[in-house]
Amino acid sequence: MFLATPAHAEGYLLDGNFGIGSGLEGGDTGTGQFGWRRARLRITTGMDFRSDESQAESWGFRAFAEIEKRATLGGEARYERWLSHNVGAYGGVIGVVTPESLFGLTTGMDLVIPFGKRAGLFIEPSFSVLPVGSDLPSSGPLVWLLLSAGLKLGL
Amino acid sequence: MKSTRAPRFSRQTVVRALFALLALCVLGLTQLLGSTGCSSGAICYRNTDCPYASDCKQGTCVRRTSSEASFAGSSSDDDATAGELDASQTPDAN
Repeated sequence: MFLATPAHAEGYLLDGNFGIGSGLEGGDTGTGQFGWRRARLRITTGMDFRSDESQAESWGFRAFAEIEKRATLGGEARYERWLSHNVGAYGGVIGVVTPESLFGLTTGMDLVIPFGKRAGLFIEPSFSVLPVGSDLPSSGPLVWLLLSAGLKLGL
Repeated sequence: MKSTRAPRFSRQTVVRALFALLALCVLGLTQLLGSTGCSSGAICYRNTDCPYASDCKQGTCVRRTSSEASFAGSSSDDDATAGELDASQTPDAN
């Protein structure tokens, strides 16, 4: 957080990030029992936008690809609130768009360990519930408990 | 009279506590992943756990019926009766 330099004269700040993540995936297989397993490994990339007049809040966009089994492509839009320079929390919508669809809500935390003036390592635990989509074999939602980490750069 | 004492917990202390909480979460997740409570990879939770032209039904991958497969643009060798197990998948022993 606050790693970016002003992108334009209007005072918008931009952070880019790239990381990997995994964790736990839970769901109902259709047998009525809720089970857990390791979530597929995913790579994520995205950007955070914020105004220099209100640096404690930002809007973030992420694209991710699950790279195990049948690869999938998805995205996320989130509102972030920063409690300090290095700690923030967010909430938003998340979804997979291909080859099957999956949509839901997500919330999580962002912790940034700064490296120099414009770079940092981000660690991001998140919790997502995805109740809608053609990727679900039953009416029960899919749950993701994920931990992502990677590089954050001020652009 | 107003107190001039510093806040009980500094911001740095709060951030350190959050990092400690995160470390605990990671340990918890690791423990959960290593425990036997996690199902094996043989059970499917999503349709994309299954190969192309197969769907996840009750935790097992089953090949789509011919009508579904042709609707999805699959080849004719996908012809199979409904509920037949996909040859490439084995139901979990549990």
